[in-house]
Amino acid sequence: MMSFSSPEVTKDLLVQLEDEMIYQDEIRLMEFCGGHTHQLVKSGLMSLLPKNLKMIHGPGCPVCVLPSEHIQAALDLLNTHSHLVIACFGDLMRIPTLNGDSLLSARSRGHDVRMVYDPSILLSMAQKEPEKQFLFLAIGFETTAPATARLIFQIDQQQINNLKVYCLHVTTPPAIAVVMENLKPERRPMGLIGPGHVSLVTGLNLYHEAAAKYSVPICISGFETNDLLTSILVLVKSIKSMKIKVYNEYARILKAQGNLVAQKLLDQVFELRNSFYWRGLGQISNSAYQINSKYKHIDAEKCFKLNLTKVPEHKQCQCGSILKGEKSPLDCKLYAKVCTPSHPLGSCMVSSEGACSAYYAQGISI
Amino acid sequence: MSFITSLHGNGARSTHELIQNVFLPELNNDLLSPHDAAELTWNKNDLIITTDAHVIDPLFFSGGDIGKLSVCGVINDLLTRGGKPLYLSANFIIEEGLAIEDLKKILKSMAKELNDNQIKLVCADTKVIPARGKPGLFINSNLIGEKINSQFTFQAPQKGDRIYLNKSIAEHGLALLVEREHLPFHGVLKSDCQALYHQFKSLFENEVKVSYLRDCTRGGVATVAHELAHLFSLSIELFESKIPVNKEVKVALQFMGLDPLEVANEGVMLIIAPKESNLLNQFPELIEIGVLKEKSSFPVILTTVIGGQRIMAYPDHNQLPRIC
Repeated sequence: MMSFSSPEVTKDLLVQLEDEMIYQDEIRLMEFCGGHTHQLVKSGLMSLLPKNLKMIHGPGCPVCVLPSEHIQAALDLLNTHSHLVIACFGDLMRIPTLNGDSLLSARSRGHDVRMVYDPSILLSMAQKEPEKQFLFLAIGFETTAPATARLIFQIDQQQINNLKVYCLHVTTPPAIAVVMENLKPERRPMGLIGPGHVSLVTGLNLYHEAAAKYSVPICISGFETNDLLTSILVLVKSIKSMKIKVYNEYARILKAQGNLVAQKLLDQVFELRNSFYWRGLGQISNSAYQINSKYKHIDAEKCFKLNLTKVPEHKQCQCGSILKGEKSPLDCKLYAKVCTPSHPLGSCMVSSEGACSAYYAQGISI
Repeated sequence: MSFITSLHGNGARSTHELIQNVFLPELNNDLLSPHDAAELTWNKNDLIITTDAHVIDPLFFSGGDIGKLSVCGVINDLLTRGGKPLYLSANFIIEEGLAIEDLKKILKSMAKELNDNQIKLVCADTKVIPARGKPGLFINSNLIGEKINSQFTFQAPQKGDRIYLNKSIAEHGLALLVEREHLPFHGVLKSDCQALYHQFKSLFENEVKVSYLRDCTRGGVATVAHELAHLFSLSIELFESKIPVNKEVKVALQFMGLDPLEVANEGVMLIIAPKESNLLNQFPELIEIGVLKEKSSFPVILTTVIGGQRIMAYPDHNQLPRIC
């Protein structure tokens, strides 16, 4: 099973890919998931792919698509509630608002902002510090949504009153639809690399619909170098033989039906919002979760007065076009000049999964 | 249980009692000065001195604590320029609320490292500041020593020189991150915080040909590589497949999306030596990880495990675990 990380296997796969791509017109593939973007660049695979194979980086980076108005709302709450603790995943802490503030900066000013890796740790934290009010900023695609759903379920069961959840989870299929429907034909991907970890939860059904609707093969991939390379090879062969199919490269752990327990939990705790504003992609209907009315006593949107004022993006920031696959980080005038991981102006520079940050971290410059 | 209060910082009786009852039992020795300055006899050839401030959170971590760190860190810094450690001075800036039991544990670790390396604490100072949250402690340490071998000279770094590490990387930074942020990886991860004087003093005694030594602490190997490329006006190529990372560390970092090359170490020495040096005969445990090259537009290049190349950027932000 070590074949997914063996350099010998990589070499063999690269030779096969070269053979497939020789005398071939340009083939464009999109990796939806930011984790894949990160691995493509970090492993050096981008530098070894045939020139006529073009990778387009997709919007599957949860930090990148979160509008900073939600961060601003959380920062406002910290200023007005002295006993508030904000808890969130690591790289969310760095998302900048337009005036350059962030949860990380708030923490250095003395506010109580805590990084969590497993949100269930908040149950014991909240119980140990009853004088404090905890707020979990829950973000991510279907990968992290079940952990939040479970947290909400447990808060309710254990009747913890000082822990609320601000649910900002988004779902994958609408994002795929926006990208496929908006890209010009000459930029549209001819095959999609699907997100392995999202699919562990959702299963494969949603991709069958997408493959049929947009007439593209989709290969769900793991995150090791050879997972990605195998998926690329599968898609190239499929495109060349004009097969529209869903492939499961991640079969070592991914089952077609997904994680039924997690799916049930999502159904119990969440419902779809009518509409949600995605950074870069705009307003998308039925694309995000909210906490359903049974658990409204845990829903931060109901328990706090959240002040959401739309925060404009930096005028020259190209994150929107990059997230839609229309542009590359190198097309942005701010990239690597004034926008860097230590001073990110746009969201794609914030997370290591964002296309700009992945490019920057690998020293890809203009 | 007793705690540090502002009284301990007033310079009067409570300060005196703190020093008598907490500091001296661990750190007293025949040279420690009760006066405002320590007078030392100096019949040495070469003076060598270094300083470092330690502001680590948490104070205690798997594999060490701030006390151990405050001694090991300066020993290793002194060693990189061929120094044998002799005398330490230390400043303790203590926040109100620190448990005196904790302070004692920290002083005990300092005492152990000082004894193990035959270093004498010659002067020290304490200050107490108001607590700003979790009570903490900062230690500034200054280490004075002499050259291990006054005949020893470094070679000029040049292209073709090989780059070596003494051990696997990223353990200290990861252990700290895990404890500071309560990440669920407890048990297997341990800081490699250690003094390297005894291990490497023979390098200077035997005049082994080396061009440079660097203690790879904050910012990890990637940062050091950038600093050295700049210092030498050369470029550096690192080979990913040769960089030693323990399996547990690799897996934990991969889980969080962090790069081992950017994670801090404490006890990892980077050594650069001419290709023809007998360094490896003397220190067969060293691992070759890269080479100095002619200056190019990119200071540091990484050849990846699969043979791809990527340019390594100068790390410039705190590493935070990514979401999924």
